[in-house]
Amino acid sequence: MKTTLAILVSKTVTMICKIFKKNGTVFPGERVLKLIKNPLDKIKYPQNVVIITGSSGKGSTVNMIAHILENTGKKVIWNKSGSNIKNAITTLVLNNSHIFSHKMDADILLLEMDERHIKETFKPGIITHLAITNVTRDQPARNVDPSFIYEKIMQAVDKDVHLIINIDDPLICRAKYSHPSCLTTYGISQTEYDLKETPPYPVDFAYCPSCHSKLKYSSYHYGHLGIYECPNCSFRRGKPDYEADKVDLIKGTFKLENSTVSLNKNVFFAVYYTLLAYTVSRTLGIPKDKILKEINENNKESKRLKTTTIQNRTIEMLESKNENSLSYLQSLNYIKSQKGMKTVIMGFENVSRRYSYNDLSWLWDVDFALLNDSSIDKIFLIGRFKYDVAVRLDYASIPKEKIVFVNDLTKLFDMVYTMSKGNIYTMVCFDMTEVINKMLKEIKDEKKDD
Amino acid sequence: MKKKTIKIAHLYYDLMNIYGETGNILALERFCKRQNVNTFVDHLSLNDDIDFDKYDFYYIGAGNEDNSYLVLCDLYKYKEDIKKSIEKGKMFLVTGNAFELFGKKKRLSNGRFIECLKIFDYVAVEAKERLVNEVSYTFDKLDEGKKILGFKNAKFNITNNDEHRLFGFKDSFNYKNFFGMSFIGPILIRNPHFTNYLLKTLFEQLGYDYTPIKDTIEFKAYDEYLKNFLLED
Repeated sequence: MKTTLAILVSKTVTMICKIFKKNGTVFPGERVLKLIKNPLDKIKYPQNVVIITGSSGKGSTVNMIAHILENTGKKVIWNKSGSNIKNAITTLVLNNSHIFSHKMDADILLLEMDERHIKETFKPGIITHLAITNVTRDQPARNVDPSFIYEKIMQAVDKDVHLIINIDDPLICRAKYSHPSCLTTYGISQTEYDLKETPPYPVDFAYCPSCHSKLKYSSYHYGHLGIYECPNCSFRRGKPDYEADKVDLIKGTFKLENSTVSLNKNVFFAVYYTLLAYTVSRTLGIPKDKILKEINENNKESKRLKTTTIQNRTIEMLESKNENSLSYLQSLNYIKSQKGMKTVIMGFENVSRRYSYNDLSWLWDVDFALLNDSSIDKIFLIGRFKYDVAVRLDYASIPKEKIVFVNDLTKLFDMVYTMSKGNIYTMVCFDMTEVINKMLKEIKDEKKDD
Repeated sequence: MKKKTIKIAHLYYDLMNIYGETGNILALERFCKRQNVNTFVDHLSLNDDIDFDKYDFYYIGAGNEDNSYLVLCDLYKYKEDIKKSIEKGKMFLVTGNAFELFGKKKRLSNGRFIECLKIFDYVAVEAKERLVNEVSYTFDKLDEGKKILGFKNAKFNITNNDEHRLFGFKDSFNYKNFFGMSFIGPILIRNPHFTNYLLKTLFEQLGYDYTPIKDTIEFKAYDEYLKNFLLED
């Protein structure tokens, strides 16, 4: 009765949201949870309930897995919207459950989930597979530090959960020792893009969790992800079950199980989400050739990278997560690797969309010196924190004459087109992405009218 | 003539670095350079032999709880050296949860205690929930009553420190040139007036002149921040 009521409330509130053209992904679940305790406990779930979590990359991974599964004949329910907290998952599950039988009509429930919300959303015994992309410093006002988040994730992992982990991350690699019975591992072998020395920014996990000796890295992919071992005990990365080899970001390919895999974007983090999508699909029993066909013919762009062209200048939107220094690093590395002159737009109006704190410490963990390059023509700073960002850029030795403060956001593209040259890269967070998208649409519409 | 130099020790740089702490070292270097004074920075950690007499300025930032206990274990062996160093007037800036380690003990919510260095008498008491808060305080030693801007993200409250609080901030401690506070991150970048105050104090002690320079980008960012997000005491 309780579950029927929960489904009824969720579907009704969702319908009302649709009538009033409101976003109905979070609110219905929120209403249900106010009325009913543990509404998801009695749902009859599909055979596979697959969770993808971690500090970054979960959205891109879920997109690709959904594509593979749906195109290989599986019925998948997944959080396409990207809403990944308890309220949103509650809405999704209830709206896709039969009102009387409480059954979800699917082969697989596939969810991108916030690291802190897994345990409080699902009771033990429901999740069948849980994959962890990476655990890095991310939103410290909420997530404290990587070790805290790792513990939160592992609290949701009961002994029967099939764990799929990125063992390039030594923090996650601990699960290899604590959860050995039901485990699949993936990782990237040494690449030509790796650093051989300790990165020029702080890394999250420098010491062995077992004997506290300093970990020895033969290669850093980025952050604390890489090829490492403890010099004094048995803790080591080892060889993963699925290992991406011969990564080539020019061709946009890597080798995996003796086959060539294509990337849908020539960036390093695309190797990780493609590799994990492959690993999860293989673990779910999808044949190798079918997975490869779907990956190699899947040209959908990553959610984090969108491209458009206006007045002969390409604009690439690199969504860079505030309070996540490695997300910024990925964007910086990408910009640096591109050819020709470049203009960068950077900044944010709010540090977070979840809370009103203005913790700016993370800016100092980002290696902004990557922008100290002759190919960077101008950097336009937008948003209420532009001077804080400017201080950071100044300390990264970016020449002052390259910095442009944009005080009136509506003039941004007028300024960009008159004062700068080269392809345009926006490195902004969620709030500014929406604003810039709207501005670009208006510019495009004006051009059409002309 | 030999150029003046400030020797800085960034302690446990690879363990206590969770909130952009390197910014503080960069600020010290930059502010000293503006005074035409050299800086010499050593990054030291667990396997190093730390000399608490060699440097003029010692800095430790915040780390995760596990790392802070590794650091505490390592610091025990230097306890007497640290005491002597503080008494001599060496400058210490200790931020985030590193600050908790210099007190008497940490009282955990399960009733247990963790013995700390006992260099000072303050006690860190574990709170029910994490203490995340943005705060600002007027510090009478800064020009025109300028505010200190800080961000706290801590698990512990500090008690038994009433007589030694710095600028009235509950979770802080000042004795001679020891400055401890639970603020996290690059506070010397965000608070250029405070950086000037610390360095002026240190320079005077070393017999160097210090002329605060106040028209730089850090001051502009500080003023803009106050304008946009003016916080009350």
